[in-house]
Amino acid sequence: MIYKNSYFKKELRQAYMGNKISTNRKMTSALFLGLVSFALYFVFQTLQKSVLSDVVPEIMQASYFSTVYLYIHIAVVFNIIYFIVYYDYLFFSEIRKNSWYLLIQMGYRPMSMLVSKFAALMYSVLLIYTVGFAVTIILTFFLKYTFIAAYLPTLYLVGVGDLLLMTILSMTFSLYAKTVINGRYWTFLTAVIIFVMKITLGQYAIISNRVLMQNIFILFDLKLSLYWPVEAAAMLVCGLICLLRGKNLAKYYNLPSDSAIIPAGVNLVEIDSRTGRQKLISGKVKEGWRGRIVDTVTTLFLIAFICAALAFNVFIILINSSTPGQEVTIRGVIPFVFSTSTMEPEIMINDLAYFQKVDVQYPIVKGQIILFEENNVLFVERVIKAGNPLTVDIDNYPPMSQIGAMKKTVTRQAVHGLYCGRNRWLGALILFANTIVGRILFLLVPAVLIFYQGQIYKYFSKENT
Amino acid sequence: MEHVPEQIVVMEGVASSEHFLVGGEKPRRVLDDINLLIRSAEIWGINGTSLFEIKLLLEIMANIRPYDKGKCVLIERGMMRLKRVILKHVFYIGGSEMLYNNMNVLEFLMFAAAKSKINRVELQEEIFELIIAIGLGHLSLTPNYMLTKEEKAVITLIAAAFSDSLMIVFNLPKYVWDEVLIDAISKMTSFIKEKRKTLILATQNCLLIEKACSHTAITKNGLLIYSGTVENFRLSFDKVEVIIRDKAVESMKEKLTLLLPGYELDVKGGSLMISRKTSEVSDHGIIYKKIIESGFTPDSIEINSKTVQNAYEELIRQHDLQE
Repeated sequence: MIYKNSYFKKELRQAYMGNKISTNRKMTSALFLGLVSFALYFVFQTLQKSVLSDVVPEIMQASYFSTVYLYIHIAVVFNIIYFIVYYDYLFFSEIRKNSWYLLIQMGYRPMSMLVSKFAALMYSVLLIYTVGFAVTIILTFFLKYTFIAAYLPTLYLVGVGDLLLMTILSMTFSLYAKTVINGRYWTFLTAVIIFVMKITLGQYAIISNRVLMQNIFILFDLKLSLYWPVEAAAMLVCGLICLLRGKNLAKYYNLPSDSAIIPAGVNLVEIDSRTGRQKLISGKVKEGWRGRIVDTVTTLFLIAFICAALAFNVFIILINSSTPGQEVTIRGVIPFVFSTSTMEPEIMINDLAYFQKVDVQYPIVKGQIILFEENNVLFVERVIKAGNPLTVDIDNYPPMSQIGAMKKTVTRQAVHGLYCGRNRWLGALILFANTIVGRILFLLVPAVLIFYQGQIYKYFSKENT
Repeated sequence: MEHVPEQIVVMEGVASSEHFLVGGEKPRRVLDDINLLIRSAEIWGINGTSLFEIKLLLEIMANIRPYDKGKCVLIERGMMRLKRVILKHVFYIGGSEMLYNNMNVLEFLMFAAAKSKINRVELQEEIFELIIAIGLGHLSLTPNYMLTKEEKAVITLIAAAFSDSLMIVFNLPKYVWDEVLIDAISKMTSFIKEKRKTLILATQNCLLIEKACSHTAITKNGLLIYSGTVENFRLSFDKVEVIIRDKAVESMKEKLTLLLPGYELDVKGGSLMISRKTSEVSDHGIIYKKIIESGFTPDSIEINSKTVQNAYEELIRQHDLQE
């Protein structure tokens, strides 16, 4: 076998050992992305009756729009993770590692390498994205939703725009990041920048509207959003920076730190023989403080995540194990997952409602919502007549049902709590935690993290060194 | 015909701007008054007591770091004011991270040498044969990420040998070389010489200098204390004439000290070293006679074949005594 790799072909391979393996992996990644989007869509479907339906209806609908909308976001997340993991292979850290120095000495031209690298990465990103997009549409076809082709090109274009911007931003940042770990942080930052830009420039208001999205030109309507001109300008500026900075960096040999070979207890100073001024170049004391910060942050983050996940699980178990007469009380408040729509709009289905625990002496007035027990079952209704017994009724009767059918009298002894507020997001989170994916995330992941915390810590320590 | 410069590196009174600062003491220049002449197709091994000193010396030579005083001329072209800038005539190897980890050795070398005008098939054959010839055939199809940093450095050296640069600076004094790699570098130097290139390597491995280099330079406390051919260095400073191995070396030493007054006797690692005190050439026959006279029959008597390691230790010892 005669090896005939050009720089472009080498870049297309990305992190893999062979061109064919790389192409296969890209196709597999695209398929995986489509499947993940589809799976996530089903997870969201289990949260239909939650705050999510009101806040993000665009991902909760039974339509191609929701699956594809999810896909374009997952593609961004996937690419960010991919960029962070394979940062070394995909971006300009190779200039800092002097790989380009060797190639330039061997006759390669920096400008040609810059263009090849950029083109190869864009091609790979778009290939995975396009195939994944097609896979998502094909999978959605099996759900037999009404096929509306009009918003698909617009959604495709939105995803392409995000990925191109993210890629070129990451490439630009990689030219300034002096270490791989910093470069990875910067890469993560690109996703945050794009997300913030989309919110502040009103892009989300457009792309989450499936009626508007049926017209591709709506994206470029400057009265609605300036996102696309800003994105185009950012890409142009970054492209120019890449060319200039890349060409400039490639002119020099990058000198690694010598601190490891400086004798112990010795500082290295540069002395200007004309002025006599001393400049400390390296001292043993200064070494490693950044590494320690990253170690500490990593450890704290892991501990915080594990503790939060475990605490949340305990909370859910307690709420789920609540029985009439033995409700869980936290500082005098009973948390209660409300699973009917009888008190809408005051308390929505699957909201986490809070009830202040009260005794028989506590004055209850007309209009207040109470938590009471009847035949060993807990009910939540509104007081329509105060006194002892209280008369209660629900706020929202389902259509076709008889108004006042749920009206009943409740003794003061049966009252457990007085409604004092609700949290819609915690309610949705509890609902999610009770799904299979939620259980995995909140129970299995912390368990795995606890088990492998040593290895994770070592991994991050290795990265720092 | 293209003119090949004869003088590759000329250093005259070069002093570094970097200084070592120990506690409240007066700062000491890392390198001071360095005078060195390196000619075309020579292989130099730079050794010294401080890793940083020898690394800095090669960095200055390769235009990677500036110097404070003196003159340094590279390949009869002077020295660029702009530091770290890539010079076509100097190939600097200061680390082993230049290789791409998603390629194997042969593939990487083919990729690196792809811009040469040689036919691809012939080029691959030449590279492959070279890898085998230097004793690294077992690595030819190994992925780069599986190589040690020393092996990666040797692969980078092979790539450098295929470049157009006239001077290769192999500045990895901290690396630890095993016999296989020392042998590989030593064979690579023949290839480099054939191509009329000059190799300057920094190392504290005396065996590497002995096997691979034609010339050596030694630094101590920022000064160049020796520069010249390896052969001259070995013959001038390794004064050990005979090595005796026996269980009773201590009692032999006592007896032979009286019989060999013109020699110095020293026990090292269970062996008795007999060294001459003067620089005159000694007669091994006389030493042998005296051993026989002493009445001992040692397990083995070996005539020392003059090593760089012994010469280096002797040179440093002499300088320590002078200080």
